[in-house]
Amino acid sequence: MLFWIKFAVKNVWRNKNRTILTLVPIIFGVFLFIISQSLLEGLNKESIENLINYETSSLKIVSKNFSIDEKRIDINDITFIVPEPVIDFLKNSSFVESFTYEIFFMGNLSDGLNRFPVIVKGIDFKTYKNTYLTFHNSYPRVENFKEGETFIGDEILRYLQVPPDSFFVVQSRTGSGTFDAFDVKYSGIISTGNPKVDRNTIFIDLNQARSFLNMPEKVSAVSIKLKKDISLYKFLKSFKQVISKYPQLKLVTWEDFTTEIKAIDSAKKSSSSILIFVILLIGAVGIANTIFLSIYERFKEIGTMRSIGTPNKIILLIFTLEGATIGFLGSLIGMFLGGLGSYYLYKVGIDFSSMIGNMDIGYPKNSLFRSDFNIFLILKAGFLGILFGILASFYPARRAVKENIIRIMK
Amino acid sequence: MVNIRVEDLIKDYKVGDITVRALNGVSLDIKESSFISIAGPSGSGKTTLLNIIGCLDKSTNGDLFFNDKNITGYDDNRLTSFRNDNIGFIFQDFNLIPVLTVYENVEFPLCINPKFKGNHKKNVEEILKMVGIFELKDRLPKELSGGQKQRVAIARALIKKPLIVLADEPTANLDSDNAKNVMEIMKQMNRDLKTTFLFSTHDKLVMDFAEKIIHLRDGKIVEEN
Repeated sequence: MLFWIKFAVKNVWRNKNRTILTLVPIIFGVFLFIISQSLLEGLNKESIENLINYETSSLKIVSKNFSIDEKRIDINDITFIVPEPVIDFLKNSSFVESFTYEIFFMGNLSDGLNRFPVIVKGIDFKTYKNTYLTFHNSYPRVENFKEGETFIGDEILRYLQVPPDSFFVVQSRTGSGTFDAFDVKYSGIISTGNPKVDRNTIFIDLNQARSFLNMPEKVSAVSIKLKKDISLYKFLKSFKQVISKYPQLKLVTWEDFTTEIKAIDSAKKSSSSILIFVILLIGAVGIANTIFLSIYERFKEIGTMRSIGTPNKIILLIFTLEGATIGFLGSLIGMFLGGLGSYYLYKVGIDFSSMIGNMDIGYPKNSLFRSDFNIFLILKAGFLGILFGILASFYPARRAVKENIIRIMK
Repeated sequence: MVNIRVEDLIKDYKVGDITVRALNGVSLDIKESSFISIAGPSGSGKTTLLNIIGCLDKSTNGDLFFNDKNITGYDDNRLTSFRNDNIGFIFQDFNLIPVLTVYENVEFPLCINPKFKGNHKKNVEEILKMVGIFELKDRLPKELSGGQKQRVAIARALIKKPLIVLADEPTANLDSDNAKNVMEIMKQMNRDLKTTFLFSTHDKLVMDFAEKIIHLRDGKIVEEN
């Protein structure tokens, strides 16, 4: 086999210029495959991290009326009192890292001139900080915030440009359905990279929220963070037995929130795969053309090989190896360039803010895209390039064994 | 002992609507270790006869026997395998593979034949020494003279010790000195290795090397001496 591989490599370099031109679309296709797929993988991974770290934690206890898809929040429908046995279970479970209560409702944030629709989240700061990373990305960094203070998503402040310690008015319906308002002092900003938090969420103290809504003891959700390396399913198995005693409650995991991300990811991967397939197909046509030209130029040589008894399978092997060599060289360069590009995007990222601004791209993340540097993806791209090379050369190679020996020797 | 027998070979070609008879009832016995020349003017059927004996072409009628085995009905795959095992070719234009070195060109027939698995070095170097081009083994064909190229072609034809070597005008592209050298080497290989040689030529000098000359005209044997 080594003899035939050496022979194929030598044949490929017979016409350097043609080979280099043939390599270009393969290099481009493999490069683009690595960049686009690693960016989409990175986008997907970061979106899920953003979801877990800032929105869902590992899982939530919610009211049975809670719906992930429902954008309107009816506070009376979704709030509940957490049963004591549930709290005891969570406190004593060796699987649970931390848990926190939250109550959220729709409201309008006003600086006196402008009004901005927001989700108001009432939280218990200390437990919230242990369950979510939201306040790891606050400015200034705080150890606590008091009743009457608020932290606001940084994107909101782009519209409401006010200095720190300014006061806002929050208007909303209370638990009894009447409109009311309360003042909050703007103490800092939250900048998480998750647009759902940064663009439309303000955080206030849990007791202040309960008191405004006139819903003491009630919560909208209990977020639970599991310890590292603890299987969600293992925990659910035992916890579901506890929750099933309370038909007004249900559990939603972070995976339940990813349906939309998965659908968008799958659609984007499919569309980018089609584009890459077209580019690689152009590359494959280039390889097929090069092998055809090579066969026509080397008819006499093929005739000689066949006349001295070279079996058809070896002639097929020779030309298929030539296609594979072109595919391999193109893939190797594409893998190198794609690997470099992917590593750069993994470390530095690419900021699409000038292109997409505040547009909702369907992923819970900001406009700075980072790739997921994945060596298996790079190897997969290389394999794909070689496979295209082999498939593209197989048909022309068949042509070489079908010609009449006497005719091609003339 | 006769090892190749041709019986009443007929070969017709279609040129448009016209049928041209290239061979017209050729019968021939080729003994083991013989050194035979086929002579005749252009269009007499020399190359067609060599192509049929070489299993590159099929006759319209007649039979071809190798060691009393009739191979006329063999399909393409069996013929390829048969050529691989039993026949060596030397071409007028040398037909060396340009990207392979002298050594690799000579090694090529061993690489395509499963009977020669393993290390080929000893066999290749031995034959290169026999035809006097061992020191050129790492050169590419473009770095060789016409005479040297034809020696490589002879080595390539003989490396697997075939039953017969067929040479179509082997000296046509060589000057008279090189032609003589090439014929001397072929003759020496015929003597040393007991390989049968059958070659076509126009050249009187080349014919003089043959033990037997078969004269062809209009697809028929007109004289054997």
